Amino acid sequence: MYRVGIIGFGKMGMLHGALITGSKKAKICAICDKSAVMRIGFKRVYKDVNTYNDAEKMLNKEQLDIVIVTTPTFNHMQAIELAAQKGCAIFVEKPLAINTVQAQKIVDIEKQYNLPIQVGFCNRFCPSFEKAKHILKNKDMGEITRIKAEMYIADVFEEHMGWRYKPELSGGGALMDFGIHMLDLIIDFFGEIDVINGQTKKLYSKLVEDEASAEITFKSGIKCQFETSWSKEEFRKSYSRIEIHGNEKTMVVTDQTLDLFNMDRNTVESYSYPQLYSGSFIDIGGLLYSKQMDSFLQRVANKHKFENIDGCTPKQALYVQKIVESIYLSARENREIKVGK
Amino acid sequence: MEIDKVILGDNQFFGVNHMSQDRGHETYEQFKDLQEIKRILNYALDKGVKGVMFSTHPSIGKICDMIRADKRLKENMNIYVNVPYIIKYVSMVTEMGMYETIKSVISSQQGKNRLPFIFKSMWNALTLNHMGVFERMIDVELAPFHGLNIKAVFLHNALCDLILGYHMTDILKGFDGYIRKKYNAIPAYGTLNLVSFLDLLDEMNMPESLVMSGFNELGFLMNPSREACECAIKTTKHTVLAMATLASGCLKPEKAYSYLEGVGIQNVVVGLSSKKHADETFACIEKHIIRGCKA
Repeated sequence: MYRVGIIGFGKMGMLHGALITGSKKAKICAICDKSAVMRIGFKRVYKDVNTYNDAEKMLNKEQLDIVIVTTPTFNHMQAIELAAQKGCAIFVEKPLAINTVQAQKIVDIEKQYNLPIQVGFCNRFCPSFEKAKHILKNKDMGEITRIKAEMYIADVFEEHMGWRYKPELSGGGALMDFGIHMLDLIIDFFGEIDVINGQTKKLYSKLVEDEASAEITFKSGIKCQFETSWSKEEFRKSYSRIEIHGNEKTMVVTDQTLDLFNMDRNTVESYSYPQLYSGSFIDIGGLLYSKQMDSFLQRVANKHKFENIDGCTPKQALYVQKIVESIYLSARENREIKVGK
Repeated sequence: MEIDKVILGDNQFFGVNHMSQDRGHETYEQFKDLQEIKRILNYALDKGVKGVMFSTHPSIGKICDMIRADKRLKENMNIYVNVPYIIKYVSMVTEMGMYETIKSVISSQQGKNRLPFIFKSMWNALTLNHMGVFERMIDVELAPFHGLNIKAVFLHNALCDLILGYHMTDILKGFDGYIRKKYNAIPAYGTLNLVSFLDLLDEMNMPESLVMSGFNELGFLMNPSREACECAIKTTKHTVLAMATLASGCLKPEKAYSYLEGVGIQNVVVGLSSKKHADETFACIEKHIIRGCKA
């Protein structure tokens, strides 16, 4: 039974904690949160847990195998460094860090300590996107020529004050906090990026963007139109959609459906979330989170041989972060950015 | 346990569709008009369906006002409430953190008892009485339903499954007692993890409870597997209310309800998006669930 500590016990910390205990392979031994309400409240209903307001203290006192880092983004690097020094396997929520400098430091930490670290890009585990990846891998769409990727939610319609809206603490707005999931997906599907032409827009927030878009050219030559917003009224829940045009087939995949159009035969193969759903050890808030946790636990069990296990590595998350920064730079300087230069 | 065999769900009223957000949006537009919701509720009553489930969506107040103003609906409909309206809380907790969320929800309570209510809530918060805070939040959620026949109060599956993950039995016991005592209603639970949740209830020696969970031939929302769920309902003492019976429209009603009859499901919650589908669905439910159970 793995001994788990959670640093940052907010919404996501709570979710990952329930999933990992629900797996029956681990138990929560300690949580660390700045909020006394959370610490005392949780201790009342989950008596066997020790609570801390300082991560270093927690890591010094507890003998932990796994640490889940779900703090605001600006704390990720320090929390990961402390946990790695104690030899813990680490699951960290996305985005990896507030900028590529800190993200690179985390990649170095992973290399130095040789520990399993996974980043919470959960959309990779969404059944329809898993299916899409499988179809792309089989190369039965012909040559891919262009794609359109978008991700929206109805979330921000006035100015907010939290850390999420302060770029020095969050690293950015809708793109960094939300649309980054879509960037991770398309990079996972189509590989590295060559050129970016990006734009950002502030609608309600003063310091961070509420919308971002980009014209992306992958190294393979595939062109992509990308758009994200956290201020789209019509999307009560998070909505992701990728339209992939091959010269034999076109695929439209969302977080709930997948349609594969065969242009020659004029047929369509359709799949929906209920059809793609498969039972899991536990489902809390969506199958993608359970599958993600399952892959992390496999990573932990396999210790140093986890190359073939799905799930985002710090190195991959650093690359996604690099793309985010390139979009910001392109928007700021109103010019095309050659990635890596 | 005396509950309606067929309960009308409310996902279509609020634009929830697991198959497609676009389809959800279409039905939401259709039911934006209260008269359309009223028409569907009357249609359900015509068909002998008296149970309706509501989540505490921001527009629930207007729907409740409409039901209260209609003698036939008010006197005949049994309301099954699903609390809390989880998306609202997820956004609030993301935005403000847990403490500010609790404060904001509690201070939104209206009516003549507002001040004593807030005072009691603050006292619960100050003395770290988590069950007290939880009960005050339930009161806020159920306030729009005053004067209506609340048959059962469901704790939302997202919350139940979180409780299940952490094995927080005290909260379930507290919820059970509070709903029975204060609202004289049946405490009920939503879950996507039927087998583990039934085990948890038995481990806690809970009295016969009402549990709503995904149940359909596709195995959608059935964990850890369809087969394990089918086995579990054969031996459980609890009443299982099947939801997602048509797997968000992936299954045809005849096939779907014939399967449910075969595995022994006796209570279903069902969504209706159009009159045409409603007629077909009710005919199959009548054949397989209502008459099927009598036989």
